[in-house]
Amino acid sequence: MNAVFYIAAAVAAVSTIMVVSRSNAVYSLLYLIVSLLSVALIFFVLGAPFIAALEVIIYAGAIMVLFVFTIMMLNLGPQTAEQERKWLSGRAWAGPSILVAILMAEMLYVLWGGDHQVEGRHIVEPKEVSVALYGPYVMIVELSSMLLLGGLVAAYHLGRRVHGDGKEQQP
Amino acid sequence: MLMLPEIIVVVTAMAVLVADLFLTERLRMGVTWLSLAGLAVAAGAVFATPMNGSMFGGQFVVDAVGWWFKLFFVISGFFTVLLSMDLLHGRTTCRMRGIGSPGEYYTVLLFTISGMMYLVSARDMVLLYVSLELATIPLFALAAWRREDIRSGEAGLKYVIVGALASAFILYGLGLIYGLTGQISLDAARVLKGSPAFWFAAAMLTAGIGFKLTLVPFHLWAADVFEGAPMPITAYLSVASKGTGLAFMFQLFFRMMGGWVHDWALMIALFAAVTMTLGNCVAIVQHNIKRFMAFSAISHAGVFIMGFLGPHDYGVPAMLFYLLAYIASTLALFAGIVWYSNETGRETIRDYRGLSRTNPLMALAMMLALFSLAGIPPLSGFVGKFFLFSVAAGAGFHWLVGIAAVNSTIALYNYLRIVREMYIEPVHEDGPAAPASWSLSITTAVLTTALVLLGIIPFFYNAINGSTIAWLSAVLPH
Repeated sequence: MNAVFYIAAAVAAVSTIMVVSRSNAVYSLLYLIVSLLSVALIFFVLGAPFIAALEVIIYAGAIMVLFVFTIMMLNLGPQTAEQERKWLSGRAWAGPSILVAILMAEMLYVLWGGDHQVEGRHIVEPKEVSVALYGPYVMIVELSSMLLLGGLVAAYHLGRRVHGDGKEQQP
Repeated sequence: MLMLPEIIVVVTAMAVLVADLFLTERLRMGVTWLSLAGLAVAAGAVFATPMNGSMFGGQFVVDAVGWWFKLFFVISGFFTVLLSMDLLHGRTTCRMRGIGSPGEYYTVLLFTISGMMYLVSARDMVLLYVSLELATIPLFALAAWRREDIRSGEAGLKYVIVGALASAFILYGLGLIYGLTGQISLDAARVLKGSPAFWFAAAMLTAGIGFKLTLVPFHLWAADVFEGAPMPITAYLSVASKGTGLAFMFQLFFRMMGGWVHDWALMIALFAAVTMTLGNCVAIVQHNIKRFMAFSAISHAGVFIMGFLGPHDYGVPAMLFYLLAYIASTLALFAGIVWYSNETGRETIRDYRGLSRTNPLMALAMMLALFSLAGIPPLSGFVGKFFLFSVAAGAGFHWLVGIAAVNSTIALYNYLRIVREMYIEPVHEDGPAAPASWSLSITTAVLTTALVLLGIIPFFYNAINGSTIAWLSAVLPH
């Protein structure tokens, strides 16, 4: 079953190299999604299906779609619509599609064919993850929540608009 | 209650955030009082906590070194609030736009302080990393706090990018160490044998620490970030961020990889020599006082890491004492700089000309602080440098002591440039009109007294030395 791990790792490495070497932001994002999906598959074969699901839902799902939307929405107007069509031409999809097809084949193999994990790994269920988070690692969870609150407060300040008269406006 | 100081700081941060919602514009000063009171109580709580003990199954440990670091962080946070209050509440002659929102500012500042305090107590890698992020991510926003100013935004952006790069290095290094030991406890890594993966991890961690501590060649972000950040945050960056870097280096190089500490003495000595020399030489040509202070901070980073050269039971107390002297001197100097920038909005060194005639007391305080940073006896900066140099000499790095002595001379020239402007040059025709506000006056008076007394009265060094040596001799590998 180690072969599944190595193939997924290779896909992750290749797609991440493509992320940083593309000059077009949309191409980079497509490869980044592939990279995150392959990391999710790695988590899955290492015996952490819950983390794999989170990786897909949060990173490849929510955050990346948000990125793509933001980049596309920043460019409005007819000429950018033309540009977007060019961005998402068939060629742009080819590379990510091939890599995703490899991941898909691996996933189907893992689900229906072979073992579910790398040898000697213990499968970590969601319940165990939560017990660990709110048991021995509760301080880390609390610190992370403070980090998020601090970041939120700072982002609120930096994102607030200032009028011409210097009065601050609530967002 | 070992965690009491941290809890007080965090609760104060939350209380400031909530109080800010309900206070009217007239009572907005309340958030400042709340922050100052919270930090003062936290300092008292640090004193009340014992110097040893552990919580959460050994994840959170207080020992003598962590105890002193926490005290220093709380003190520097307290004086940063005092330095910031005039600017935040618009009580300056030179109004700065877009700096407001004191409630959010203090909340974010208090969060960084709590992150630093957790950092020195953390005993596992994940907690160490999360608390490091808690100490630095809000700092990115503080550097960019002046939304109107394009330089402030640039400072924030550069700090974010470099900080993220440093975090990536640190995570990679920690990940490799975890891969080698299979445990996240910092102590588990003490038994590691030298292998390529271990050395690779150590190199990654060194690079990450170098970014945080502004060691050459990882220092490039410092000047731009210091220049763009609001003035009190520049002061905070130069003391608290340096303290965090040192605490982080102590955690990794001493606790985690303690068994190897003799093997990279040469590397640390080389870093110290290059960092001191470049920092001082580049400071010669700086005209902006914030950039000047950035390079001064870089050169001091080189002095600090001499404490890691060993013999270690003397290196660490010497480093802690110099950190205390450095905090007092730098913040005393910044009180003068913040006052000058509040009143006139200018920040080049030439602008300080003739300050000794218009405001002799402030000029005297700034001169004492500059002399202390340069290391002139009997001020505390001299004593601190003396101990660190003797640590380096004791470890056999006589060439490094030679380089450090030459660097002290260059640094003295640099700092004397400001003294010359203040005492010899003719008076600036458009100098500050108002005297320093009470908060800046108190900061200057307390810190200037401290930087003189720390050097003269041996009690402070004895206290640090006595409490840390007993602890260090118990844990050090012999």
